[in-house]
Amino acid sequence: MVTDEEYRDVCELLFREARFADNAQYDEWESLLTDDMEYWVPINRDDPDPESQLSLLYDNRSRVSTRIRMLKTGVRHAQVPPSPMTRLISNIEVERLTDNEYKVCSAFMLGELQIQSTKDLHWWIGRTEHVLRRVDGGLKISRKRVNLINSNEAVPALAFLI
Amino acid sequence: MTAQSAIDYSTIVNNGIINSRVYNDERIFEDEIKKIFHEGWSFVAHESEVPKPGDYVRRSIGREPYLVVRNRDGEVNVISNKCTHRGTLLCQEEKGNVRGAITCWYHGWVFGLDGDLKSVPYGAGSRGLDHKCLPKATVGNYRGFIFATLNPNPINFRDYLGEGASLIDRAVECSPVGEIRLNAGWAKFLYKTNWKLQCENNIDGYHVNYVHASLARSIESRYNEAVLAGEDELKTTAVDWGNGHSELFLAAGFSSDLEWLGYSDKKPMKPFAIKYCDQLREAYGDNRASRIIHDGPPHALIFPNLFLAETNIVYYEVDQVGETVQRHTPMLLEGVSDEMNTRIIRLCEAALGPSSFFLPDDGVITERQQAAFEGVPMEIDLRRGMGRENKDGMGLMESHVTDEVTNRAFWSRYREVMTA
Repeated sequence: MVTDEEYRDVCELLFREARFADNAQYDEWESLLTDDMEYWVPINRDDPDPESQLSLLYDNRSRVSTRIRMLKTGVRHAQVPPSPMTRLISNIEVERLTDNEYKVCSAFMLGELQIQSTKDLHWWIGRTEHVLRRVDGGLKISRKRVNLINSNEAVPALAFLI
Repeated sequence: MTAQSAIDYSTIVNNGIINSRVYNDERIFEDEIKKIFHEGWSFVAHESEVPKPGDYVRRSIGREPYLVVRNRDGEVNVISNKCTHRGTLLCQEEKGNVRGAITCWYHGWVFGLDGDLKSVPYGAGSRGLDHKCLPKATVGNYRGFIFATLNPNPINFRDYLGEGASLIDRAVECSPVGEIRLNAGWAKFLYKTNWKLQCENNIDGYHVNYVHASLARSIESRYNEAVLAGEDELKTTAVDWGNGHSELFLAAGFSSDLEWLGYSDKKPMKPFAIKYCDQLREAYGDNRASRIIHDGPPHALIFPNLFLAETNIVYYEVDQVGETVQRHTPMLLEGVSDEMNTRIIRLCEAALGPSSFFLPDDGVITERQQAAFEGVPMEIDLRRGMGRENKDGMGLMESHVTDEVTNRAFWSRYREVMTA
């Protein structure tokens, strides 16, 4: 069990993260991550093992940095200009893992306008699993796993921060 | 113009000039489905995807739904996935095991693993009727790569592969036991472009500086060579292997061993990589192993739809004239450590797929091409390097990596097939 105050802290972090990602505020988004953060979008929905199976994305902290540096060059064509997008986050469940860590499960719907080429409006839908860690009094993201409902189907470019 | 006059492909594809109708004309697309994918050979699967009897994967030949299935004798068949009764798709899952037989869940018709019709419920009503077995595609298998055609009398499979077989050899021999396995799963990237724009782009060595500028500016990698070097300093070559197969020979630009695995003078090999080199030397002897360690697997297109993408295997599914699904999977090696194969999986995620460091940019740029073709048809100019390409020691046409010799190889085969 977590206290109301803890639950509110977790929600605030998730909503802040969503806003930074929606607005292409890359530095602000990166400032929410721990130094050992892992960022993962598996393909296999049932029992994914990143050591033996392909993922859409499986970044260690250094790859996350590369991803963000690329977005900031201004010539990451797949995100020039950044996709206008809005994500709704709901069904937030918080579980305490250790004294200073929480596991958070949530659902999201993300509408993305693919403004760079097709102008299609695409819906990304799925569930997210965060591991949050309290660092110097504030919460940071040490793990983010996104399970898309259609990860095993053909998907368009996913060059933004999901 | 009469509505259905035949299309003259010899004027549409002419000496490095391509009419952009080929990318968005529905009639041309229908012709391609028939002449290239139904009557000719295309890649469908790798044998390692169906290791046991009854194992299947769903694949398409053109737009036709097929099953690649291993029978009880261990042979791999490519049979229709449409029930011969009323057409219902027999297998809905992308892969699985059908045990001894394939049952249609509409009316219970049962087919064997070779496509033969085994039984129909309430058989008395079918007495005297010539109900059909599942159509079987003609199959060619080269070192586990399975190609298929709906043509019962196609050109000889090995003649189709031609010198392209040596490209598959070079991919497979990266395994010390000469075997690869594709069982890490496929990622599927949807492009709103014609399939041929992806074929062109993947064997185009000219676009790196611009399409992939963001990566070059963000990391130290072997792609820096291409970005920073002047035209005369680039050592990499573009090669026409005949029959529409072509290669960007990246190894000519590698300055250290296992550069294709991400190592360099600045990034020393980890123990698993050193062990891998030892395994290759033991298997192939010093000379051949040294070449594999340096060169790695090829970056090559096997006409029409198989892309040997270094440590990855890629193929295209054609469905609509302006929409293509590119599927990719890491080329895992038999006879190496798990760590080595995990490294290959991580490379795959970095290079290919919708959230990788490369392909989203290729996707957007080629989608902008497709959008541009909506206007008045234009002439695409793929003549670059025509003045300086020449035959190499093996008699293959070769040129500077930025020359469009690879694209011309594709189009010249295309023209042959479409005008035949």
